[in-house]
Amino acid sequence: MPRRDPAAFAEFVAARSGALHRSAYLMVGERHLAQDLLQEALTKTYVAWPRLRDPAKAEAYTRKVITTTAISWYRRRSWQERPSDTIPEASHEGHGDDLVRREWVWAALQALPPRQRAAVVLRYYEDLTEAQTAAALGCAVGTVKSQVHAALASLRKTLDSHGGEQIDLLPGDLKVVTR
Amino acid sequence: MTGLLKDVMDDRADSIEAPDLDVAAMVRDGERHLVRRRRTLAGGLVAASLVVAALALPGLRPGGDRDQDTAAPVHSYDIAYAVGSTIHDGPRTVETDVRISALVQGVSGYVVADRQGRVHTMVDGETTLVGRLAETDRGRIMSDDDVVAWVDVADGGTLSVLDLATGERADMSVDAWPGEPVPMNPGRLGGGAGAHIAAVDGRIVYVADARGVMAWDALDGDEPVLLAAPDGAAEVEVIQVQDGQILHVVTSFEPQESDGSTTMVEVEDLRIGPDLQDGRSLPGTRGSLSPDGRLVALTDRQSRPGSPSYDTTSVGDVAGDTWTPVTPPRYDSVIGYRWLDADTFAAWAGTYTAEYAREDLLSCEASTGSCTVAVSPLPDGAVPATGWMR
Repeated sequence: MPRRDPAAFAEFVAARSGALHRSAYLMVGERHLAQDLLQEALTKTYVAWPRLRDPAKAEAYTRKVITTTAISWYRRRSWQERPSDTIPEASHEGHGDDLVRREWVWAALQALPPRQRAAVVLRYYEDLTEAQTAAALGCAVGTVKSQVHAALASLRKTLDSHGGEQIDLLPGDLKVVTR
Repeated sequence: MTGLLKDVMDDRADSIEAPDLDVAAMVRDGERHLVRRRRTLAGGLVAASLVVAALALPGLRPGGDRDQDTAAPVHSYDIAYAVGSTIHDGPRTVETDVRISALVQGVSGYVVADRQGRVHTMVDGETTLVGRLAETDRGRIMSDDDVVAWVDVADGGTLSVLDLATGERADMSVDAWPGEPVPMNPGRLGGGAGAHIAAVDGRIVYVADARGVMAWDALDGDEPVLLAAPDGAAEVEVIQVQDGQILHVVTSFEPQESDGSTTMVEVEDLRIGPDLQDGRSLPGTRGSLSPDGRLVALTDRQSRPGSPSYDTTSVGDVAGDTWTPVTPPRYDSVIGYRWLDADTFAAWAGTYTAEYAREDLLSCEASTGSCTVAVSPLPDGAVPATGWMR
């Protein structure tokens, strides 16, 4: 990777911005905010470009900046500024219920404290290991465990309270890893 | 069955359109950031830093001349201190499980050290052990808002820098700093890495050891640069740096004629400037800079025959010559030690007699020099938020 080569950087942005944007969106829950977050994170990546050496490191670095910046934004901003999703009412049995439960889970995910939400996105959307998640969050592995545990407990409670006791939040193999 | 949570995240993520990003703006903003960072360091760089050689050095800028584009937001703090394991921060009380011997405030939380020099962050109600001071007797934690730094005992001395807001962290061994390493002093209690943290200005950290004063942005992976010392200086001590303005003390020896003989007399000169070479002298012995580096609360130590020495404080514009005395009634000694916002600073005030000593913490207005009592009396064993071990 050349020293702060704008062309190589633009190539990296073109290749990886879609995936990074999706991750940012899950962390902040709002498309334009996710785009602003990604724009800022990629600017920092450009500054750090010479020492990132290869695209994999650049992506990991950008993901870390997205994560820590998202947490920082929400720590500094009032929660009242967040877009508030309306939790839908339950509908009839069947496919409609599934959609409603998905809305509940999404709203509950967005209502999590920012560090918990980021931990869940990194572990179960990005499929990062606990160690990789800890690196992205800038915390200890034990903290990742506790954040994920608290987040899943909160999501489970939401799902159960809406009649989803029999529904798995996570695939079976991931549940084992999480314990 | 992949699990509802995973399905929801996949569906939501797949539903959004590709981002509309401006790569040219990223490059432009990134280059601007790099230029600002270089300018911050450019004033004192030795020749080894070729990158900044072509940049214009910023002069000592008078009040209205600052580049507003580079100005960091000024946060507001309450007067904080710790007693035992309790932090008192304005109207708030924070209970911790650490017996606190040093304290700094950030926007996102606190960093404290215990008697053994163990450094803990306290963010969002979570206490995390993050290091151990190399010196437990004279150790210090320094901070500028959420960027916190200290010299850690790890690897015989390591600069540790932490951003409380983002969790970013950088550690750099003393051995990796430029010049000949200074050996660790095994005789010092708690070790001692031969280096100490001098200041934090934004993300730029200033450290000093026998090699001199070094500065760099460790969080962004920059390399340390040695700041050129002023001619004839025996020693330079950096007191504080804010917005690129370095408040420092230059110690030199000057010849003094007395009774036909010449002796060398040690002279200390408090100066401020964008580098260590062409600073402007200030009328004090120590001081505390406002967050934007425009104002300084100057402290001058006075001695009275047969009585303990005491301190006086005055405040004014670093580029001006008018100093407003800070003389709240009832106090023998006043030291401005920390700015709470752009216009207000905290002062440590004491009343001392042979039988009696009482200390208070005051909140003082820079524009008038008037103060109000914030903490009275300061409890025995209290640790104000100076970062010094007490």
